[in-house]
Parts: sequence; C-alpha cells; structure tokens
Amino acid sequence: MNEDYSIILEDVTFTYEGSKKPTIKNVNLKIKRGEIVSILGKTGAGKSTLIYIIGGIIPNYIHGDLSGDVIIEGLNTREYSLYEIAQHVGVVMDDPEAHIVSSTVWEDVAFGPCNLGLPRDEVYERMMFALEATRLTELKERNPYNLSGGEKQSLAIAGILAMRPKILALDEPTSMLDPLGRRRVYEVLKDLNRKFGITIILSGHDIEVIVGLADRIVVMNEGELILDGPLSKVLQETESLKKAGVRLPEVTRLMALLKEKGVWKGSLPMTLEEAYNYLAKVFTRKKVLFKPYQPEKEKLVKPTATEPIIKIRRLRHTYPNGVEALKGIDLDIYPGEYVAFIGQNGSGKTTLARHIAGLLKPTNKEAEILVASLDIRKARMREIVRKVGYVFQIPEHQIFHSITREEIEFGLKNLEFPKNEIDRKVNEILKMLGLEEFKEEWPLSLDRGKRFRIALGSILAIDPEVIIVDEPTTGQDWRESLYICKILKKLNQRGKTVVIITHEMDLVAAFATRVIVLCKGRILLDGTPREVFSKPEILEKTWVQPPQITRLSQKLSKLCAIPTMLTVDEMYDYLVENLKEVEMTWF
Amino acid sequence: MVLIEYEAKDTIIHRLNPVSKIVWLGGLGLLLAMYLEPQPLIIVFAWEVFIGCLAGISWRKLLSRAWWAFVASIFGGIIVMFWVVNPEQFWRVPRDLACKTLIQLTPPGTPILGHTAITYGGLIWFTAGVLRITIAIIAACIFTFSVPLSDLTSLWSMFLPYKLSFILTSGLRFYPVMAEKTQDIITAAKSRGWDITSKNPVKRVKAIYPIIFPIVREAADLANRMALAAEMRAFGVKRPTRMTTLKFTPSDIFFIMFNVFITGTLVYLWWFCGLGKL
Repeated sequence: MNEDYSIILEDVTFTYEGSKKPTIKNVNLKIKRGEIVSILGKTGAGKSTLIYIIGGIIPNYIHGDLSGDVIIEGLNTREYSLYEIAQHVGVVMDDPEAHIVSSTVWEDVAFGPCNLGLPRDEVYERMMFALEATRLTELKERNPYNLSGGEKQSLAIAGILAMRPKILALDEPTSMLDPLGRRRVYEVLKDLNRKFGITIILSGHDIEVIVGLADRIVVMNEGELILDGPLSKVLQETESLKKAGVRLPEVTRLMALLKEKGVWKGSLPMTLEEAYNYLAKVFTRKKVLFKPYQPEKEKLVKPTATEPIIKIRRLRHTYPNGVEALKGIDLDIYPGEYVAFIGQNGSGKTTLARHIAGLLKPTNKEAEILVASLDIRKARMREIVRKVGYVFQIPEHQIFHSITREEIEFGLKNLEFPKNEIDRKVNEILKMLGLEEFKEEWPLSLDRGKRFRIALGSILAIDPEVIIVDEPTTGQDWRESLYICKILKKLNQRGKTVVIITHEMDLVAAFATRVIVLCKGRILLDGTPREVFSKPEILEKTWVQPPQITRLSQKLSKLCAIPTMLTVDEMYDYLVENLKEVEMTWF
Repeated sequence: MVLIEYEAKDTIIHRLNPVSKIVWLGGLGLLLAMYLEPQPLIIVFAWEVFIGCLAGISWRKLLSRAWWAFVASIFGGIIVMFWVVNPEQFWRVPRDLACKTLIQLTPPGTPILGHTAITYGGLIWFTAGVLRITIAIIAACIFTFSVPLSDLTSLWSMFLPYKLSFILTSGLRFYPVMAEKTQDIITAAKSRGWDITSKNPVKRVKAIYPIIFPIVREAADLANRMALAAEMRAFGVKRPTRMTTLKFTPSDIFFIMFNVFITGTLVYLWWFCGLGKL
C-alpha cells in the first residue's frame, strides 16, 4: 500500500545541467514512515543528489534533467515549490554553518516558522519543541557561530525541525565532526525517530558509525542502487560493499576474512559485542593457548637520529578571544617518524601543528620552536615552507588556479624555482598522486578526494622535510583516505617526517609510528599506537576511542592472553596462527 | 562592517531599544563632526567607555579585532598632520602658537608636497583626529555588540521591505564568516610560499590575484548555500511573524533624554562658546 510510504521514487534518473552522464540512474526506492534509512556509497556515488531529489531541491533549486516520479508524503515534487515540500521533508546539508541565518540560536530556530507567518504562540511552541528535541534549550541565547561542531549540526537540524517535517534528509551530517559531535548528532536523530516517529534518511561512507541507528541500508554505486535491506542482511554482501567503497566495521571485516579462510561459518557480526560473543564462545570452549606476541612494527619505531627534526619547548598560545589553546608544550619529533596528533576538537592539535609550520606564533616569549635547525619564530615564511609543508583540512582553501598543473606549480613559482625544475617536479608529483589524466582539468570540477590530492601535491612539490596533513579524511570515502595515508607512508619510508591530525583511529593504528594525544592544550599521552591505545581509560578523558579491533582484543584479553591488537590484518594473522592447531571449523 | 558580533547579554544597554542606541550614535556622530579639539572629545570618549562597560563589551576582543583600524587612523592622522601649517586652519587657538614649527619637513614652495612640517596645531589636529576615529570605531562596536541582527531587521523593515532588510542584515552577518574564511585562504597561500612583502606595487597587486579567486568563490558558494537554506525555510513566502516587538521603556526615555541633553549642551558650548573649535 502506497499510503504506508513517506517516500516513493519511481524509475528516477537525473542529469545535472551541463553534464552528459546521469548522476542517478533508474532509482526505485520506497521508504516507510518512521524508518531510519542510511544511504551508503563512495564519493561520487550519487548519495547527495539522491538526498537533494528527496528534499525537492532538485528540480526546484538545482536544475537538470529529471525523469521518473518523486512522491514525498503524497506530493509530486515537480508540482510543488521548495517551501511547500520543506514542510514535509527537511534537508540538512553537510556544512552546518550554511544553515545559520540569525544571530542567536532561538532566532535561528524560529526563522522558518516566522517565515510561514504563523501566530507568535505557535512559532514559540515549535521553537521550544525543536530546541528541546535537539538538546539546545540551554544554549538558546548563544551566538550560533560560538557553538561546537556537533551543536551547530544540531542547530541545523533544529531549524529544519521547527518546520515540522515528517521526514529528515541529512547529507553526510557528521562528515565534519569529531567523535563527540558525531555521537551527539546520532543521539538526537535516534530521539527524533523514537519519540516523534520522524522518518530519517542519511547519507554517509561508513557502516560502523550508523550501526545501532539505521534500520535499513541502501548502497549506491555509480548512481545506481546496488543493495537495499536491513543492516544484518546487507553486511553479508561483503564483495558488493567492497565494490561500492563502503567501509565495513572492523569486526565484520575480521570475521569476513576468517569466513573466507573457511574458519568461520556463521553470519557476520555488526557490532563489537556480537563479535566478542562469537569469539569468546570459541576461546572458552576450545581453551586456546595464545602465544606471546612481539609485533614487528614496534621494532622499527626507535628513532635512529639523535637530533630531533622538530624541537618544541615551553610553547604556549592564547588566542585573541582569551582561549588558551596550548599550555606549555615540550615535544621532540625525530626524522622519519610518522606521528599522529589526536584528541577532541579544541584540544590544541591544529594550533600545535600550525606553530610547527610557522602559521601561528607563540604568545609567550620563552617558547622555542626549531624545525630542521631553523628557528621558526624568527624565520621568514619562504624559508619555513622549504622545511615544513602544511596541507589544510579543506582543500578548496588551498586551490588558487583553474588548471591542476598550475595549482601544483604555485608554490614552486612563489619560491622562484627554475622552469625546468618546476616541470620535472610537477610531472613527478602528478604521476605519484595519480593525477596525470587530470592535469589540464579544473581542480574544482574533480571530486573531493582528487582535490585533496591536488592540495597535497602542491605541498609535496616543494619537497619539504616535514609534511603536516590536517584531517586527511574529512569528507572522503574510505578508499580515498586509505590512498592518501599510503602515499604519506611511502614518503615516510623515503625519509620524510609525517605528522597527521585525525579522528580516524583505525588509520592511526595502521600507519602511525607514534601517537600524541592532546587534551585541553597539553600532551596527555605520547607513545606508539599500541602503548597509547592500551590506555583506554586515559583516552576517554578526551573522548577518543581506540579502533574497534583494539577494543575487541582488549575485551577478549579479560578471557584469555590475547595482546592488544591494532589492525584487522594483525588480529587475523594472530588468530589464524594461534588457532591452526585447534579444530578449524569452530562451530 | 562588523568588528564585534552581537553577544546575548542581559545588560542595561542590551535591553535598550535599538532606536535609543541609534539616537546615541547620531548624537555622537554630530559631535565628532563638530569637535576638532581633543579636550572635549575626551569627555565624549569617557562617556562612550562608560556605555561600553555597561554593555559588558570585551575591550580585549575589541582591540584584537579593531587594532588595524586604530593603527590606520594613527597613520592617516600623521600624514594629515604634516600639512596643518596654515594659520587660516585655526580660529580659536592663537595662530602664532598653532603654526609654530617644531620640525620642518619640506619648505614652502616644494613641488607637489608644498609646505609640510610638524606644528603644535598639527599635533592637536592629529590627537583630535585619532580620538574621533577611535570613538567612531568603538561606538560602532558597542552598537553591533548589543543589537541583535533580528532587531536590526525589524528596525530596517519599518522603512524597507522585509526581504531587503533581511538581505542587509545577512550582509552584516556575512562579514565575520568571510573574514574567517579569507584568513584561512591567506594562511593556506602562505604555506606555499606566497607573500606580499615586495616593495614593488605592481608585484604586490599581482601577488594578491591568486587569493582573490578562492575568496570570491567561497563568498559565492556561501551566499548560494545561505540562499538555499533560507528558501528551504520558507523565506519570503509570507509576511513573517515578528517574535520581538521593539518597545520603549522608561530606561529608553531616560537614555535618549540624557543623550539629547549631553549632545545639546556640547553643541551649545560649541556654538556659543567656541568649545571644540581649533
């Protein structure tokens, strides 16, 4: 019965104006009232376009060739204006700041109902409802720009919620947020669905983050729906998910590998608890004796150089608004290290990294920052950039030209390199980053992953000794994040010192040789990933969780002598090695 | 241009009707246009600082945001000061004293520059000029700090169509966001060896070119997204509900009357006693 459905898409195809290829192809989708549906797929799969189609933004605001029917709460989106559709379906974009229209939280939430000309009492009632539902009541007098990332995204949801839509469509709502912000947004969405029966559709890249939230998963690849069903069912389709660039939860990946090996015959787990229950049963039943484990990686991390390449002493920084971002940092980083700065937003990671790159100056006189013997406090920017390269979180801020090749040349030209040297370096970088076929293209016409590679390439062309990359995974799909980390690893193996700032703990575990945890402007922990992730109770202070596989091994260690594991591959090898003498088929 | 954004506070100044604050700004503007002597300007400055304190403004934040405006006013004031050498520029201050040369820069008849020097009158002129600009900047900051954009929209919509008044307030809101994004873009360019330290003006202009492109793109993108966000929330569909009504309270009446009194007194003293004239 069509009346049961909030959203009906029948044979929908959409081609953007000026594009030859359709972004969405023959999509048929029906979503029931009160469902939470997650649309997954890699960058460019068509997720955002599908959200815009559901929200009526296409064809009402963004134009192109739309065929098929889009019925939202019984309304054909072609026949109604955007504001009429907006009262049934609210769209929340990935950048919450784009939603802010007022100077206080409450005014921002009341903006929509006010525009509908509703009586003041009703506007007030709707505003209070939206504020309460998104847990913003106490912040209602605040300036929206002074909220945290998670609070801003909640405000964007509140603003839409005040329009009383029956459906919320969210385009990568947590791509810019830290783990705490993500958790807040998901809790709000869960509440809205449970208490008010609001249908929720959200797009993203990762399954791990939506486990426990979404009832149903829709997977897209190259504009088509390739999988649709409950999470537990979709998760079993590991090959299709892999093809679609969807990152599986680490525990699912581990069990899938064991399944491939023929060791595991049951269904794949979705959560850490499920995986734990499966493995705990085996370990206790079979009484497995685990061998001592000395991971190879740790043997390599001892610095060979005696002199640090980055030496920081007594570094403090207070921003003009009075926020004390760094409270006396002492740090040595050695040549050839691959360091990850982790911690909650506002912990001081970026501020510290920007000091190393000379983009910020310490606010105390006694601070000392030396990079490759260069005194960063006194050096000119032109000298610093030859020693330290800094890649920004938002690649668009670092793109100044209309052709990829020119973009990579930019830094070299600024530093007045000879023409033949520029040509040689640019060709080398284009090849290394797989950008050769895009060298004459407009960087902004490429997907976010390629844009990030261009921004990275423009820094690498200068050939600095230290490379700092701020959030290489923001807004990227898993494959692209992995690609960038592998490039950085290659450079690291060639002797470059790499510093990354990230919230993705599995990447930290897989690539970094050293982890520095920052909390409230101080270094909370410093050590190898295994050392750092072995202290979850300290990490909790800064809302950092070790990778899922690490948490699984730590949970299992209470049952048996399994050591702290960092990656899926490591855990898989270890389990296979230790279980080969045990009966291979566990159940 | 907003140097300090609105901050919701429950101070006496925040609670005032924006019209009262506009009356204060108007009076201040009149006095700044009339007064050329530093001493009475110090009284105006003290009154303004008092209002700023009542509003709970962060002077540290103000200084950090507006330092460049103060520096520019000092720089501009110094330049203008060099040409204050003509006795006819003074009415009240004894002309001999005002034009007494302390340091001669270029003698009379110098081509292009003419006569330039540092005089007593020039120093007075300079001090008053810097004070006037400082007072104007601080007043603008107190105003934007204590008046929410919605009140401004309501105020403007008394005289302008709602859509236009919303666009005006959005423009004000746009500034701090774009200022932050511009700073990010400049920092990103610096990290690739970009700078504008060249003394050659042609090179300086050419150096600015690459950063203009992303700034314009960011501005267009932000404007487009804001427009979409507003449209999704039914902007312009109907005459909007006003959640706040601008009311006049006894405090407003007192504030306006007090300001009218101070402004009136100072205008009277200027007109009849020559106070503030050089």
